[in-house]
Amino acid sequence: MSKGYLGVDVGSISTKGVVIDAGGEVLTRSYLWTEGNPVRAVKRVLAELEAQLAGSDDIEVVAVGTTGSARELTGAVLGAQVVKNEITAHAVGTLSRHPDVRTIFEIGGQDSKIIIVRDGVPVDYAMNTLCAAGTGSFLSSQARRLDVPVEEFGEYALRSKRPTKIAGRCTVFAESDLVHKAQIGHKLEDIIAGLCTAIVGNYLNNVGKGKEVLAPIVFQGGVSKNVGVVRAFREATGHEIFVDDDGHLMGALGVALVARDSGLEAPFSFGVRDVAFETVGEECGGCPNDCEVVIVLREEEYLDGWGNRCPRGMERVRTRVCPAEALLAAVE
Amino acid sequence: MKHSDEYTTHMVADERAGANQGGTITVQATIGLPRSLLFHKYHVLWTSFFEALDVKTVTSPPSNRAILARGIELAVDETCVPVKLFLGHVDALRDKVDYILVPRIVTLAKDETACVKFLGAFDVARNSVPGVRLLEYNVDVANGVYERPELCRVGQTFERSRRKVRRAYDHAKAAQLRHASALADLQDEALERPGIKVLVVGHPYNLYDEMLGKPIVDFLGSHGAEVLCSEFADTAKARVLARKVSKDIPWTFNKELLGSLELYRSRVDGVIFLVTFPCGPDSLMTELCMRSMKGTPAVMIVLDELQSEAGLKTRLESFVDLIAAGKARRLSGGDVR
Repeated sequence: MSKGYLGVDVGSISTKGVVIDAGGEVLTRSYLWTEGNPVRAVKRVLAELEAQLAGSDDIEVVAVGTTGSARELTGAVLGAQVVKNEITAHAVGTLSRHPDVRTIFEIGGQDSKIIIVRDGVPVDYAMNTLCAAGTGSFLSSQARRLDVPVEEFGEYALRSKRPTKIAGRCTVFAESDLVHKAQIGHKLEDIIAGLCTAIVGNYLNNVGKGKEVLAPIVFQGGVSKNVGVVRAFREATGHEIFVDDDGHLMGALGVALVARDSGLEAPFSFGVRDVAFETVGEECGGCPNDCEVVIVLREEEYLDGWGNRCPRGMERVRTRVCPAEALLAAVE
Repeated sequence: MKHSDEYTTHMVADERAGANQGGTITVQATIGLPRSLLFHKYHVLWTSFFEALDVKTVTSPPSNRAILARGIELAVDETCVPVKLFLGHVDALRDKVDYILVPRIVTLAKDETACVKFLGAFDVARNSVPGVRLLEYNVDVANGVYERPELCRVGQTFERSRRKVRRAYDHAKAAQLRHASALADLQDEALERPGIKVLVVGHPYNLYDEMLGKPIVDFLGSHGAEVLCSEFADTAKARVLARKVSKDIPWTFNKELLGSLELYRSRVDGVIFLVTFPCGPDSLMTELCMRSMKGTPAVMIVLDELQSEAGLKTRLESFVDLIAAGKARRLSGGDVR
């Protein structure tokens, strides 16, 4: 029986999970769509990971880490030892594979970030702010519109010899420009290549603004699977761009490593995927702030909750959501 | 625990208020102080001034969603979030007090100007909040209108003796200066402590507002960072230092923020610029500052009235993680940059 560490990264679009051993080697990996239901996605990831582990030596998961935008919820469901933001998780994961990296580009489903690393330590980062231009969800919506599977976007782009110029500042303008360029007769592959160039330009000018981009550069996140975007990055920066086969798993790997290094251990069972979890979101109503409190129920019992600015908010909502529990407490 | 919709009242002894026979106006009058905009800069001056005149003041509760919602309703869409909050606060005081104090600050120094919202706050409130009774005083240093005579003019509405009013002002001004220098000293002490030090650069009306900067400052504190606020910096020093970066910044408060950044930058581990949408001066100044950061980790947080918290925690948490890692590295002898 050897120790394993589970890392789960629940993003807006995809959910990733890995189990690593004490040496940081990835034993199993899972990658699937979140489909707007993080708890269900995590359960499916657990099923995949468990099935893969079944064949190998006995691995006992002793610590769990969660990251990504649903990290709090997932952390509660899995009883995680570590709940970490995705920037730290990505930096840790990437550094474990590429210790010499100095710049990390990351474009995911809904956000994009840049992490500047010097001598193995992240020293600066930036994240897209109000605008989601040039992230994965924009690419997939354009792919749908052009009737090209998003997975083949990259190959189309590589076929292009004369990329079309696309206004890439804003998705709304980019889309109208895209339509316009198609209507005046530009080729599909040129338009797709132009889109990749526009995304890169947009990224470097917004997220990467004012940051010193030094090689080696690692590019990850879902969009890194798009070879057209990779090429556009290479041309724009003049450097080789490394894309790891496990690039999409760096967050999960990173948080598994953080869980391993936390020194916290507790028994974990994959059986948690058969447990019923329910979430309830309610406005407290106790004061003018009207906090939106979320409560996670495990088998109809209170497990965790957040969103309250003061402790009374949690009390109020909890009493409403679990009246039986409140009754019991009152009896005691 | 302090209830969030509590109004803070500065009471005066009843018999003294009653003894003030033949005062210029009702001695029982209460003055409302909206907890927004310049309140965060002048609250010590205002409360001690009126206290010295035996006039009761009532401060609106810390910002909450209801105040913000009311402010958004009252304000023109294009105004910035702090002005919307300000109108919400004025409205929250409207039925609770006799007068609400709103200064009209035009200039605080020659060749400089205050942001237009300080020029307009009085008139905007008068025209936007129905049935409101306001007290104003003007400050326009460039054109010879100073704070002392103006605030004393307000004081004379409640106290006939000029001498008494002037004394109240001098007493209040001294209290304000003492308060400011105590804060600057506290900050200098904080700089000496070990730990991670984060400088938050932002206007006091953003930094201390319960709906804007306060949760951010608290979050940083609860994550083990020593938080320094640009506002506590010694103003005189800051103004001199600001000239090193740019000689012609027209906005007084932005100039002070820039100077505080210069004052602290070499002694902090990271800088957070806190701005509200859509502030014109801040968007220009923050850009100028970000470009001059040269290696010190910096992040800009833009807050808006939509209160969307997506990504905010991620940004703050990772920022603290990042500078903590960098600091640990520097302390262990490795050179990061």
